[in-house]
Amino acid sequence: MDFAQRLGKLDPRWIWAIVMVIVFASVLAPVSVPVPMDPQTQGAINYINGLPKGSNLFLAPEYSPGSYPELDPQVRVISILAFQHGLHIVIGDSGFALGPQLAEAQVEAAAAFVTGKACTNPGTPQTVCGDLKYGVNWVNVGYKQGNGPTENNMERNFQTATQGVDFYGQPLSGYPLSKDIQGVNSKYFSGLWVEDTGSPGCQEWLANAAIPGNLPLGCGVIIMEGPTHATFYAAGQYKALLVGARGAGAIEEKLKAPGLGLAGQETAMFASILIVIAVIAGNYVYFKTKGKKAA
Amino acid sequence: MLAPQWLAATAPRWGIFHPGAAGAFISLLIFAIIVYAMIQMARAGRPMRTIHALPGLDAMDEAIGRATEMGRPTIFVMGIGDVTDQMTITSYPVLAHVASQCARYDTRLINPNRQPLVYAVNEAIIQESYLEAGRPDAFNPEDVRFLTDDQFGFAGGVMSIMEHEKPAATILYGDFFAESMLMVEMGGMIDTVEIGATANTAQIPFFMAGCDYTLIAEEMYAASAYISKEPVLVGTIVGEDIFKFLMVAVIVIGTIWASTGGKVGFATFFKM
Amino acid sequence: MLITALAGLVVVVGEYFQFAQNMNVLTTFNTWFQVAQTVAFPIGLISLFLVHGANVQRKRQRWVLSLLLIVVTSIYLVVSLITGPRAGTAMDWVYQGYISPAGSTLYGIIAFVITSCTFRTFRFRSREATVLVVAALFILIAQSPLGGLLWSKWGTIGDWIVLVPSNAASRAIVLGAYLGGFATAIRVLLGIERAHIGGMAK
Repeated sequence: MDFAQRLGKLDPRWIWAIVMVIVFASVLAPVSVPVPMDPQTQGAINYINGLPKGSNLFLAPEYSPGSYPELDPQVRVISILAFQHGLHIVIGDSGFALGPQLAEAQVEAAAAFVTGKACTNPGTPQTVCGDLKYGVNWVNVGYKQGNGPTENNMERNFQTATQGVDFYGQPLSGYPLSKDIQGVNSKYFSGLWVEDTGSPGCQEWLANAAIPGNLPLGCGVIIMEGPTHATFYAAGQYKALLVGARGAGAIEEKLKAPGLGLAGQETAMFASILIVIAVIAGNYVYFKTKGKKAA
Repeated sequence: MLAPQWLAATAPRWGIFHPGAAGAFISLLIFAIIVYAMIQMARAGRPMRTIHALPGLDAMDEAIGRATEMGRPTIFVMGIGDVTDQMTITSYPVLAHVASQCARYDTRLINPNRQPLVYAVNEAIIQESYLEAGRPDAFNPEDVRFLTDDQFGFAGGVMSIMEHEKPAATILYGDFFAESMLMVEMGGMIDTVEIGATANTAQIPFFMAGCDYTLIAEEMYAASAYISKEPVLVGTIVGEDIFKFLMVAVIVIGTIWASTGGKVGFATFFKM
Repeated sequence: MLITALAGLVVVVGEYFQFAQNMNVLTTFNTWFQVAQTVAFPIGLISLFLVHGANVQRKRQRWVLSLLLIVVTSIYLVVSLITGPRAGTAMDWVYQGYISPAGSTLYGIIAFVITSCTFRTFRFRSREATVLVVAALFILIAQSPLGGLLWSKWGTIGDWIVLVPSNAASRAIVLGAYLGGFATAIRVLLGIERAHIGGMAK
């Protein structure tokens, strides 16, 4: 058996072992790589900076812990941009039970970064991060089950749809930020940002809240969903599209706020190189053994 | 400023329809009328066009035959969608057909599920199929099982079943997300014929790359018509195609209109 | 079939008409569905216990793992019912400490399987396959920092490939898929499609 035939019969676990070596090497000896900004990611920054200062942004973190490596960094950078621009954030979703909890941790991290002060009492209604505090600068209404109809209800009657309480069971009427909000629409919010990992996600919020509520929608997605959502972005239905940890990494680099987005980029780069090598090797095997089979 | 431009493009608000829904409802009505007309024509005995060959569906019977010869089971995974998911609903006739074939050939059929309601429906479908094939004794309720509703837990469970049971035929038919790649590659590591079908555009490339046969989007919706060859069902596919031509016409007109700086009126219909 | 048709009609009316939105028809309907789904959960749990209980009883292959599953599921179920899904509870501790990382780990395994899949399947078999593989590699490099390091325009061209030609194909597929879904829905509503209630299509 020649080299090409032996390579063709390679146990896939050897390939996995090489990937593992690359991942461990880049974790143990990280190399900083620049992540250039692309027009689409710049569009996400322009989206947040284009919203009126002091207005409210609704953040819908429709993702589960499985997607947190890609979407947590996105929530963090969007929150940093929002706080730097003077926006207030209301967190809530209707598809994934753990999304708001994951997102609030990132919003708190963003608040700590923007103010330069660590948060006291994190994960509670008494959280204070320097000048930014829960109830004034952000509120977490939590997961309200029901998917599309609940999103539609939030657009028309926010207090009823959320049962008037936040994630911690406290009345929304007790917070300066949320007490007067009656709907997720252009009367009370200037923007809607959705983090999407599949379904329900950006498309449902677009149909149920953004269009009837006349809100510009920005969408953050995992890298696998990027091409799917590109159709809506190209058509102008989404006003911004942020794709994967790479998009978040590019913004982290621009804001000089390194985090999980940037952390995995050199691993992604070396893994990409490995995949290119794998394709070349696979085709070497194919063309070498194809001739032998034909013979 | 971005916000004022978007607010300026507000569509007119109608009191009858939900904002943004009027155009969609009218389109739906037109589609329903066309499909209904085709159904009535089929019932009246008018000849209907045939659906072109779908290798993925043709291969199912061969794959089940292969499993029978090798004495190994067939596994049917219906994705992770819930019972209201279109792709799940469209998978039911295919599951019924596969179960019927497995009953006929006395091949074991394993059906792991992520959703409890889907599991309940699938168990009933498979049991009914075995009954109709005259083999109620061959139905093993333990082969239709609920694993977990966690997405990747389910993928891990399916991979474990595939590794230990070593099915000779693997049918992945339904709504899949990121976990599909894990199942496809697991199938690539065991000697199995893989048939993949989904309408989720993000997962179609993985199925195309890893599966032996793939059904893309509307091909999976045509399955029940293709398998049964019922004129009424084929009529609905014909109605679908007619509406598709209408949509292409609208797209062409809209493109020309948008490219030549047309007036607001045309676009407003679609934003109603 | 009548129930299916009526339910479908209610959903259509609730989705499109303002008066039904004002009456919260869909919200009520959705709540009923959530309740039905929740009630169905024990069905899945019973199936799990039956299958794995049989494994343990008959001492089949890997019965120890089945026993472990039954024990862990039972303990977690009882703990969750007692403490509830609040932050800081035992249920939350198990979820954050084990279930969440396990899900993320399996998601991470995709990177490994994609690499082995590309070695196994990405071939320049034909002209179309060549275009596909070259475009895929281009986008892959564009999505990583490597693209920007090699050439400043890589990301822009990558964005163009995704937003223009890939988009066109994607739209065509999505259009067909949703029309297929509509047709399936109409078949179910009219009672032509009956596999879900135990009969092949008539």
